[in-house]
Amino acid sequence: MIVRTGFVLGRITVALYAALIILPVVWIASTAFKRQIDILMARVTFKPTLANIEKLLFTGSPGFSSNFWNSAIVAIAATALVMLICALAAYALSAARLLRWLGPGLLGVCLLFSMIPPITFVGSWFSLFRDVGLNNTLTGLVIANVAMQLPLALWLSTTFAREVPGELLDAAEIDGCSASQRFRFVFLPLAKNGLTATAILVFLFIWNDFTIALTLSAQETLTIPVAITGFAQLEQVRYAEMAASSLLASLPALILLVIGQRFIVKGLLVGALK
Amino acid sequence: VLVILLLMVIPIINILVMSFHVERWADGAVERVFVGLDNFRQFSADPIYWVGLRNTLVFAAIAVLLQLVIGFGLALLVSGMKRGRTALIAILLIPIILPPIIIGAIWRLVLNFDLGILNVTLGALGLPAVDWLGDPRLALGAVIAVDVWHWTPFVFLLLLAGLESLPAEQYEAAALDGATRWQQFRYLTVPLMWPTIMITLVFRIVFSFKVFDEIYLLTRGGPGTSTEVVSYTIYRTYFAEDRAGVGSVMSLFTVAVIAISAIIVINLRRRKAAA
Repeated sequence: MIVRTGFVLGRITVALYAALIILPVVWIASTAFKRQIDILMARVTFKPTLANIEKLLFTGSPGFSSNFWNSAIVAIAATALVMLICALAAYALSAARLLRWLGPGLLGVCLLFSMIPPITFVGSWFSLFRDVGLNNTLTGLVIANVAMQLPLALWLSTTFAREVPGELLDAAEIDGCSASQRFRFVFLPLAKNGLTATAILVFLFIWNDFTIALTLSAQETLTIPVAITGFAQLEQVRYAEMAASSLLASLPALILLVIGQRFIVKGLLVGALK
Repeated sequence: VLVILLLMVIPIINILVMSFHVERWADGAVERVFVGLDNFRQFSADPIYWVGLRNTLVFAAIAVLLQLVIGFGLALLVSGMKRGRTALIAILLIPIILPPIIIGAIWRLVLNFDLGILNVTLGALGLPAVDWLGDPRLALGAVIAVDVWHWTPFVFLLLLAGLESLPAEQYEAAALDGATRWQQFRYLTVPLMWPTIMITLVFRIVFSFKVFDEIYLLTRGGPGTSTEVVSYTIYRTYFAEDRAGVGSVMSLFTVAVIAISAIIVINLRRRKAAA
């Protein structure tokens, strides 16, 4: 009996905690559909309106939709680059059996770099990019994001690559597969899950990036997170726009959560525990 | 791999070089002037950086401790549960994967003095409204609370994964030997979980030095310097005050502090493992 009550109490605690996590998110999502008066009165029930989102998408210059495209281009291009480098590097390391002794050193360096706050890098990049004219270009944002995410991505993908048995690659070599065939038909299928997990996390981190975009972009290349802060100046906050843009900015993350939850969990756990 | 290393190493060298220089604008071009240790002198006399460092340390210590306690408690509760787990984990992943800037936006909305849902609820209960982000005595606490909300799910997931990889046989043996649940917890769970706990600690401490986005949107270091954190000080020194040299010194020093804290925690782990 005591065990039962304890169990029920435990369930209630967990449920309450889940509610505590989700309610603020629901609150901002609902605010996106509120009229100004409902926001100012903090009404819980209200008549939903699409006006905020429409206004955000179809009016204003440079316009939120251009921010959205900037974010999308940077995130997709940088993720693609990161994954290309990672897949090749992970393959090279596992094929050359270097992982066992080169691994710890390399991964240590990667870990070290992923621990350094991005803000300590951006200043330096800002000066460098200014000298070569990359400030306020999407190319500059892509390069900086790639550099920022590579250590973590390398770490994740080499960890996953360790699960690919080297014997299979050797067997393929004996059977006469070329290096590119081994990569394409043996390594990639086996490492697919791990690389997907890495790619999803990298994409999310780049999409979410604020520090780099804040410092290296201006009007035309603004990405969503920086645009959102524009709605939240200290003196006057445009809550409706802030909430609506936050909702739209969260969509990729939420979609990935629905279709790729198991990859995200895998990536986070491997990233932290191995 | 070489390209990557270049991209990582060049900024560091650049920071090192810049920390001995002052950048001046002359005829629309940038000129670097060697000033020796002057930047270091300015840095050590900079009152705001040290306040920021203290705030960051307080922030990291309290937030990480709370996350660990709450996350561990929840992980213990959930580790026996089967039903509804996928849904729970899906909900807990939300704060982890949302853009941090949106976490800031959410709490701007919830903690707002006039129209935040928290104060409105307090009002409905007949309690006075609280200026969560505007009161210098409360702002750091509010920011810590937001960080605890933000990252406890991450700690929880790590610890849950750790708990579930513990060997069941040892618990069965302990139960056979008549160990109480508290004894099982104290002499089995805690020692077995120690490495996981330590890794979680390193991660969270190091990452709490990175906190920037939320602070930028929630308080911008204010009111006064009550929520000033090192990332924000560096940002302002570099980009608002145009003191790139001093900003570089700050960056270097901050990285050193992070490295030292990480080493301390990792050594704690070794010592415990040896004992």
